[in-house]
Formats: sequence, structure tokens, C-alpha cells
Amino acid sequence: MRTWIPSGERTGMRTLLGVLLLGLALSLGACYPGSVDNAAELDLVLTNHDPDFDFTSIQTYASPDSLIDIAALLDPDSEGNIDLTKAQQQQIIAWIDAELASRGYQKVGYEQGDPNPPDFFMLPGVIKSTTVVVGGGWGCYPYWGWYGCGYYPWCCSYAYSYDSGTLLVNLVQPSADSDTTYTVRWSGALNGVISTSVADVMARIESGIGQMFAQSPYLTANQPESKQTDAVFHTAKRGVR
Amino acid sequence: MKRTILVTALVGLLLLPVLNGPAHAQRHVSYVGDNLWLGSYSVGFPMGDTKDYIGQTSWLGFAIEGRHFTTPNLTLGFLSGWTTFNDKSYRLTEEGTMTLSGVQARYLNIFPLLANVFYYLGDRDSANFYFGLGAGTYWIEQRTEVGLWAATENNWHLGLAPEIGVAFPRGRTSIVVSARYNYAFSAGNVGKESWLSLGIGFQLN
Repeated sequence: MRTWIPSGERTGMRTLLGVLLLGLALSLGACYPGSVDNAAELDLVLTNHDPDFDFTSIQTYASPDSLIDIAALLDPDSEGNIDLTKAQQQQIIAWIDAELASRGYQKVGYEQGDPNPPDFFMLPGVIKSTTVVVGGGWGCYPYWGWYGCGYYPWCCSYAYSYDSGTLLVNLVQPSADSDTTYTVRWSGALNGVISTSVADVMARIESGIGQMFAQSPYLTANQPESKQTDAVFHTAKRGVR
Repeated sequence: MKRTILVTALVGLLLLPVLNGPAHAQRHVSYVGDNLWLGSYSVGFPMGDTKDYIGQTSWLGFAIEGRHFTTPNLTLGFLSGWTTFNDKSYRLTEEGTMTLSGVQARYLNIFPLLANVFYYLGDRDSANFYFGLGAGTYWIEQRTEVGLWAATENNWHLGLAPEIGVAFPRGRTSIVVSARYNYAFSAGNVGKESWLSLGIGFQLN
């Protein structure tokens, strides 16, 4: 079973590297050439769905007018950690609404206790976390073994941190036997590193939302065939930058 | 561009002792007990399952070898070195009801530790061919990065490496061109790996 770790924590080859002529190898480059070039390449889109649910059986939905702060939800004493403005949150919801509308779903107004609830709810949420990476030592190529760690002490250890965020979009239905629990029919998650450019973050969120729906062709109130083309288009459009 | 410069520089470095060798090179006759030391740069072409995982040619590889003549035509020796394959592409992966999309960076870092036996044809004073087989182990790191996450598999793989080559002597050195097929058996959670290494290097006789 594979273990997935934050990619900044590179494990590995110290034992074997010690017996090889790394001086020659190091002149060619590091062990991980061609890694990511920009923050967008770290974006990850994951979707999941209930395979037994017929998405054409639902038509109307409702959603909150701002993102759910998951950190605050998990810890009521927390102040939450959403950095997005209200306008940015509403823009994100508008992008999701546009995708759902393109699949034939209709957004309706809803108030708690309304006797005519929509068929499902769209719940968008975000959470941010900070990851600290400390490493170095034998893995401090490209200078290790050539000059010696003592000569270039800064190459021997490093520490950095990055903020990552996840946008979660859930399509849920009220459970038949309870009005306080919901059954998740579809989930989309966009995970990535938060860059300092707000414009870049928003553009990546828009692209990620598009990809969530592009890779979920079954998510439609109408004819799934016509949406297959959109899925291919979105996937091809992203490409590798 | 950077890679091209590095490769060119390394090949030049390898060939320098040969090109600057003594103008009046002495004839060197093969003797039992002679040792050969070989350093080479290699380009790797993934094959089979390895190609399915990473389709890109490897431009980062080198090997060091020692060979000892036990008879006038037969050597026993060892080989070690390093080869890395890497690939980066946008991938969409489906697993059950889940679909994952994002840029994946994939790496194979390979360190062979092989014992080998070679048979040399002809006179070592002229271009002479050799063929043989290496056997031993490959330490292979398989690393997949997706988004902010990475999974790494490190395993020792048993392996075989048939090889052919030709040495062009010049004094007490030779330019050697070789082709080695590397086959590493499956180990741990990683399946078999195979690739073809085309190498050029120089040899101290």
C-alpha cells in the first residue's frame, strides 16, 4: 500500500547515493528534473459520486450565498480561515451555478422550513491549511558530496511553508427519514497551493470548477450524451502548462 | 537547452583523454590479469511496463565499470551507475467512482549494481566487439507526484542486463559504444522494469 506524503518531503536514496560517483551525476542535474513550474500545476481535482443515484431524477437545487468555512464548522471556537472576500465567494458560487445550469439544473430560493424544498442542495466550502517542510541533510543535492555539507551549510537543511486550500462542492439530498441529515450524491474537491496573486487563485478556482464538472459527465438533468463533448473540451483545454 | 549543454559537456569531458591521448600510442596487447576501467554516458529508452509509466527518453544516465581479464578474451567485472527517467503530464485517472485529475510528475531513479561477464572478439589493437551479460540488482525509486502529494516506492529488484559493445582503441584508452538491455524483475509493489541503454564512454586499458 502506497503512502502519500506532501511532495516537499523527499525521501530516499541517501544510503546508495553514498557509494556512487555523484559528482558526475550531479553535473547532469538533480534526481527530480522537470518538476512543477508554477502553482497551477499543483492543482488537483477529485470528484466522487453515488453510482446508484440517477442524476436526471433531480432538477432544482438551492445553495447558500457564501462559502462554508469548514474550519469554523469543525471547530466552533475557531474564527475560520477563509481569506476570500464576500464578492470573491459569490463569484465562486456563480461559477458553480453556471456549471449546474449548463447541465439543466435550476437554482431556486429556499428558506429554512420551506414546505417545498428543492430536490437537492449545493454546499460549497473551503478550508485552508499551512504545511511546513523541514528537510535536507544527505538529500541536499546538488552540492552534497562535491563540496561537502560543511562548506555549503545552507544546502544541508531547509525549511519552508506553504498555504494550501481546498474548495469542496457537495451535492446533497435530505435524508428521507430525517430533515437534519443529508446524503451526499456527488462531491468535487479542488486542492492546490495558494499563491500570492489573488487573480491567479481565482482563475485557477474557475478552471478547477470547470474540471470538476468536465470529469463528471453523468452529472446532468438532461441527456448525458451532449455533455460528454464538454468534458473532453474542458480536459483538453487545461493541458499541461 | 540546459540539458543539451550538460550532455555535450559531459561527452566532451569523457572524450577529452582520448582526443588528447599520446600521438605515438603504443600497441597494447591483451593480457590475462589486465583491468579495464570504463566510464560512460548513456541515453535510456523505456520499454514495456516502464514505457507505460514513463514514455520519455532518459537523457540522464551514466555508468562506471571495472572489468578483469581472466582469459585473453573473457572478463569478469562489475557495473554501477545511475539513470533517471522523468515525465510530467496532465492525467485523468479513474478509480471506481472517483476521478482524479491533475499534473502528474513521475520519476524513476535507477541504480544498478551488477556483476558481469563479457567475451571479447578479435584483437584489442583494433576495433573489437564484445558481448556478455550482467546480473545483479537494481535499486529503483519510483516516485509519483500529484498536486501537493507524492508517493514513493523504493525497492531492490533482481535483474539481468545483456550487453553488446565495441571498443575503439587509442593507446591505453578506448572509446566504447554499447547497447545494454536492462530487465529488472518486479519487487515490492512495483512491477518489472525494462529499458535500453545506449552508451558512449571511454575506457582505460
